[in-house]
Amino acid sequence: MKLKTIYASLKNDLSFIESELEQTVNAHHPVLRDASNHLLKAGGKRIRPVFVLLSGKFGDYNLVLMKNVAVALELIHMASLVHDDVIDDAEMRRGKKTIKAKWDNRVAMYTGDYIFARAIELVTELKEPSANTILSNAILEMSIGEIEQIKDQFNWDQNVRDYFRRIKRKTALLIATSCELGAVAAGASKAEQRHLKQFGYYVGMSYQITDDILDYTGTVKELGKPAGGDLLQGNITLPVLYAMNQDNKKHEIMDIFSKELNTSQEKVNQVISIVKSSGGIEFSQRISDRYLQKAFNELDQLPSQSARTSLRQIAEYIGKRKH
Amino acid sequence: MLQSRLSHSYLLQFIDFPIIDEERLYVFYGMLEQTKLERKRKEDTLLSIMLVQIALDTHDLISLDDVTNENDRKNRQLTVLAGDYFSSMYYQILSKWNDNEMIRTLSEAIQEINEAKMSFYQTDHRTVEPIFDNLKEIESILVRKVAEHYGLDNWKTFGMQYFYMNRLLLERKQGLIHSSSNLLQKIALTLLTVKESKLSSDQQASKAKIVLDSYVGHAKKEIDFLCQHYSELHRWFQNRLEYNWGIIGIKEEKLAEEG
Repeated sequence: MKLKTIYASLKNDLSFIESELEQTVNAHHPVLRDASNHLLKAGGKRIRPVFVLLSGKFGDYNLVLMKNVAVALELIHMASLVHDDVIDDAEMRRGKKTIKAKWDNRVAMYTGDYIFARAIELVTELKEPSANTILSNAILEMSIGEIEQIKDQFNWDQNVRDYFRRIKRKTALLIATSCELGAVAAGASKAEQRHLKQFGYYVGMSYQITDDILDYTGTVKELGKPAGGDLLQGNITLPVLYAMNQDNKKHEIMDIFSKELNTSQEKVNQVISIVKSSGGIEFSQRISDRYLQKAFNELDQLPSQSARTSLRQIAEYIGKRKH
Repeated sequence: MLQSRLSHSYLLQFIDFPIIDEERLYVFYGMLEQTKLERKRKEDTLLSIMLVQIALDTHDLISLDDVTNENDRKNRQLTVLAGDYFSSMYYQILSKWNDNEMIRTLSEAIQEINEAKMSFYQTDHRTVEPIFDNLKEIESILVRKVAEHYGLDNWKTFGMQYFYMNRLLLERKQGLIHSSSNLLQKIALTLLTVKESKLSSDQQASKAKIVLDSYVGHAKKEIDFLCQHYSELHRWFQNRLEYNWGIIGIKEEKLAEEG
């Protein structure tokens, strides 16, 4: 099932969120406004706002209240992407030039900081005091996770636990927070808040593992960038961690990266080939599926309603997606 | 307390320890002393305000140049992340106090500061005056927002002028030590594109310094005027002002002579 079909039930609400997103980043300075809109217009799956809205359906759903959380979560995600592109020195994002490539690093930093602050301001409009606590803890953990990711670059001695802890902070926490805050904003019960948070966490883990698989299996057309980008940055993800645990593959992979003669892309292509032949892709897919199953189990604890069906469909899409 | 928050062992392997602006620490401490907040909350609020300033300052360190070696690459990556990390801490500290209003005040300040910074960086000014107006905004937004938050009007007026003055003095100091500064370059560029285009680059640079000195002189008069009006605040700031003026060694007569 396509994401567009799953989103159909939220079509009007998502259009509203989209226009709110545009209005929210409508800065005074033209460059700040253009840069903010540049990424917004490049699209994206808007998974975080969708999780906020669907989770809100388990409480007293009021779009005017929900929109602050939905827009804030998408903006926090966007702001982190703008800064990530400076970190990765990335030229392209979602098939378009990154802000740092179209303008420069400084414009990207100011834009990211502006968007991030705008998002936090929106959350302060919620009357529920726990909203700031939940979000601020998630953001702090995210930033620690990003630092850990740099620390672990080209660290061949890391293990699967390091990887899981990293992707929890990097991706799963913000998706878990989207679900939890949606439920909090709508005044859903504590038990429902907890199940939705856990659902978001498991889906987030599956989402990131799928992303890491696609970095080895996707085409330029599907990814909007060449395969192996993570490895090129030194990010050691689950498929390669699995491969490194097979026979002498760890030393083989390390040797490839230590050779001076080959270009970076040649090295990456060789490692991709090793990962594929080792069964690393299939192993990672199994782990992703296991997280998805845990996510479904959390959904089973929630009242049966159309939002629950939509959450399940999105989770399934995430586990099977090709881009 | 602030130092321990800033001490992240891995970050400090690749980036310098963040500069703590003592002037801001001093002023914000003075402002919070005027409030009825309990001691621990005062400390945490001061910590949050300083973390905002340090996060913003940290992101100003990101260079535009291509990185050519691994150490520079790590430095850039971790400078971005350090700023984000400090910023996330201010939010978390205030959330623990459920200080929704202060979170809002600081997030508004961050937005306004980034608007002003973008304007300073990306606008081709036709005259030098808007450059200085812009600089004053960048330096004074945080103190203005905090002062408004606590209803400290005197501190607002004084603090805004004080930080502007400090920035001008810093730019002047950099101009003396390194022959130029971001501000001096921007002034020289503006002079070049407007009416002084016949000047050589050396002449533009010295003209830019004269322009900066005239604004320093004007800012000092403003501070003197405020000192007369706010005698209580003047006493608070007196040592700092003398210290700052002394370290730069600017004399009014010298400024008049150059201007």
